[in-house]
Amino acid sequence: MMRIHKSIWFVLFLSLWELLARSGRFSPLVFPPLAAVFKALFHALASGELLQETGFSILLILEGLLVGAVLALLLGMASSLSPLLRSFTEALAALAHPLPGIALLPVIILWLGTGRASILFIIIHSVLWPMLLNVMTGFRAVPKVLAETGRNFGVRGARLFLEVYVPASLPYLLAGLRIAWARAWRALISAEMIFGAVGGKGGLGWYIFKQRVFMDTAGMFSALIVIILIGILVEEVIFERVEAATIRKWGMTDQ
Amino acid sequence: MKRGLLKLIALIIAASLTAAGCTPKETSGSGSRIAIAEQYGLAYAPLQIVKELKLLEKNLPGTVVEWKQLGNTAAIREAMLAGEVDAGFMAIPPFLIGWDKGMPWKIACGLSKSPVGLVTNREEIRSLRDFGDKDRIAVPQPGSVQHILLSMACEKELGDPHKLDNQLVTLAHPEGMSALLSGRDITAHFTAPPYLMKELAEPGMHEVLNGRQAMGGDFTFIAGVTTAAFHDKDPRAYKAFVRSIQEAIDYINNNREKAAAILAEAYKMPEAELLSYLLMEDAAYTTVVEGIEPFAQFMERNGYISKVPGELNEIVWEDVHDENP
Amino acid sequence: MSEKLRVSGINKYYYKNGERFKVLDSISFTAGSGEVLCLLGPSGCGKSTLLRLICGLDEPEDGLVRLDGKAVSCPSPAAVMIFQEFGQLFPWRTVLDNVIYPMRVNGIGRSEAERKQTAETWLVRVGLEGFFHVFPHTLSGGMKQKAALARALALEPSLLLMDEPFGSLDALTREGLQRLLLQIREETGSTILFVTHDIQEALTLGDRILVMGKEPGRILKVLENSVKKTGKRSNQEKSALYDVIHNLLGTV
Ligand SMILES: Nc1ncnc2c1ncn2[C@@H]1O[C@H](COP(=O)(O)OP(=O)(O)O)[C@@H](O)[C@H]1O
Ligand SMILES: [Mg+2]
Repeated sequence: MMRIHKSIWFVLFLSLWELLARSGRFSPLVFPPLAAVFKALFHALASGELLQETGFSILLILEGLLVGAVLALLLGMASSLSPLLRSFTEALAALAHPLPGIALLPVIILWLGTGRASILFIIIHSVLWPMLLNVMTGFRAVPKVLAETGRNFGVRGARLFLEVYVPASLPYLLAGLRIAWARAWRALISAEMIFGAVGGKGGLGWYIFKQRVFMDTAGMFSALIVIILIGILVEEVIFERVEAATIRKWGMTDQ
Repeated sequence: MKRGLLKLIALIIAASLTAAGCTPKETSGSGSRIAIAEQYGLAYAPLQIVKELKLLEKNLPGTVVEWKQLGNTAAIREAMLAGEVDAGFMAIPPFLIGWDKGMPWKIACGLSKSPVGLVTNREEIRSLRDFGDKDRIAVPQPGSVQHILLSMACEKELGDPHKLDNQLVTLAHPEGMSALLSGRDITAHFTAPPYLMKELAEPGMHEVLNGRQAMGGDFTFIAGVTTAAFHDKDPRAYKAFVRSIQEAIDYINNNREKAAAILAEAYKMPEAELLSYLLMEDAAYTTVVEGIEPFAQFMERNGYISKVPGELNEIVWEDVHDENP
Repeated sequence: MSEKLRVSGINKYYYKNGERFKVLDSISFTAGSGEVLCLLGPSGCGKSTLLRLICGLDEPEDGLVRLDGKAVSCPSPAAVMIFQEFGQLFPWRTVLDNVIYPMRVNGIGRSEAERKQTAETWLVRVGLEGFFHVFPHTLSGGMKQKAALARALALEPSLLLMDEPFGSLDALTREGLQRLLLQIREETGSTILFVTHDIQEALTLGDRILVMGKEPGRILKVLENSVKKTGKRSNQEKSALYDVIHNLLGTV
């Protein structure tokens, strides 16, 4: 039902777009007709360029998500071992969490230059803090009875974290990952638009910027469509499926 | 509930159509206001003179002049498309890209010629051939005059205009300079004054290629471009605009010391340094436009634009001097 | 009957609002092999605390816990705890996997196949055939406690610690599980330390009943449960013992 509703709005929106584009009141450089946008999308996909840039962006964000999530888990584990470490991590997270990655850009350029490493840094920054906060909250919310059952069975150390604490706090970890993804994806696109290409490839953000420079408005919109599609794919398909296959299947959603 | 929703939709559509009705902003130049966009650099020096001597106000009494300094050509182009800017200053390649895409604009005048050059921090690089796979070259933007010049040189010297494309890094001039001087990320920078001189003044830096070598001749570095709306609707304002630019250029060429004093203030540079720049052989201020043809030919040949202008008046307004008719 | 568990001279303190208070006061007792020992006391008298000490989940300030002659210092599956909370099963593992997992961790069974078979046998024994591959949240409370029991038994613990495991069940289900526990005890000869605050439950299950008092938690009396030994012989005898315990607890 929800889906049908959404698609009605979607069709309405596209029709309105086409209406405006065809009204002749706007230059196609401002408001390209849908046909031009989809043609540009088709050509960009067919030439492989858009796919390559998309691949570049996706690879970067996966790397960043992985590193950020692992770091968050490690820091979360460390901070649940000692109150001193916990207060340290909490202070660090409180300082760094509110900082948008893009605001760090000038500093990052000074430290790391403008290469891939800098974008990766921004992604990790976007992922790490929301993940860490959720890891810490999640670990604290692990039912005592589960933790003690695990310990009673002789599960200890890293194994206790990975086999009891991590699955037991999975609702929090997935929620953290959702926030992290959304933040990282936005940061990535913005950073790419600013950093430009290194070695010919610069990701989706860079692709948009390039279309802007060459004044290909339809091409710009075609990249926006790809960004929207990836957003929908990840948030509505991938996360949904992962949740359905884990916490919802396990009845852990109403913790 | 349903009824309410429909009403809302109707309202939105009505609102958007009304909004569409009043075309992008009140186009200016109607005697009351003229908006001009420029970028930063010594190549734009005559515009400082226009500002300081209030030449536009003199030639077009009663006009409010609005100056905008924008970060890159794409922003200027978008502002002109939106009707927020009447006249913009830029290099020929970005102008041609816009023209090719249907921007309603033409060149009104030349503004400057300027030395541009590819500076490297690696001693062993003496020509384009010496760049290895690991080298990174900074240019302000793809499609910028620096990028096109580099491609032209690559075509001449290496037989492939895209030879170095995968080694380009996009950096604005100031960031490009600091990256080059710190020896990080990039090994070469294609730039213009004042960055060009500042970089060459540092130890260990040298020029591999200059603009004239790349182009195979002289060319206009920065030109003045106005929208068709501005040109057509208020010929008086248009003429006053072109005249003001001409007067500013004449002023610089006839009063170098005085001009240097005014400009030193505007650019926060020592007066002597500025004067030496004005006297440089490669730097010249002139309304004559040069080099459109070779740029257009090259760009069309390599897919940056889809066509070359058939007649000159497709891309320049009636009274522009061009050296290659 | 050889000695299985010896608890000697235990003192345990907690902090409440920055003040130290004694939760357990010089607790000493033993449990024989194969015995069901019921710990009976009012809520808050420290029964769970005592069980946690015996399990090694916590440490006493004074005193010692010996299981099979060895001092207990950290949790191990030699003494397995079954809690009152239904949430003690790992929600992300199927019922079968919940039983197999601790066996795997402790290297019980020569192969995964053998572990699976043992787990299935125990699940069938507690009456959970047909529920091997479901996730715990789909089970009723009674079934969850049965699964927890199967999981504990599969580890062949030296001592089974049960902390009011049937406390949250309805009366009918509770009786069923009490009967099941006694049957299994007959078959396996397990030693069980069973905590309850329900006199009736203690009388049903315990060979001996350890009556505890409150503030600080201490042992008031150790009673032989003559009622259980002799079977359901006399209601009179049963109610007499009930009254004895009731009075003991009432004086606190
Ligand atoms: N971790 C703890 N910290 C402080 N006080 C505790 C803690 N655990 C239990 N207590 C207190 O110790 C007393 C005994 O608790 P508990 O062993 O759970 O009693 P029972 O299981 O007999 O109901 C209670 O007063 C309880 O509030
Ligand atoms: Mg208790």
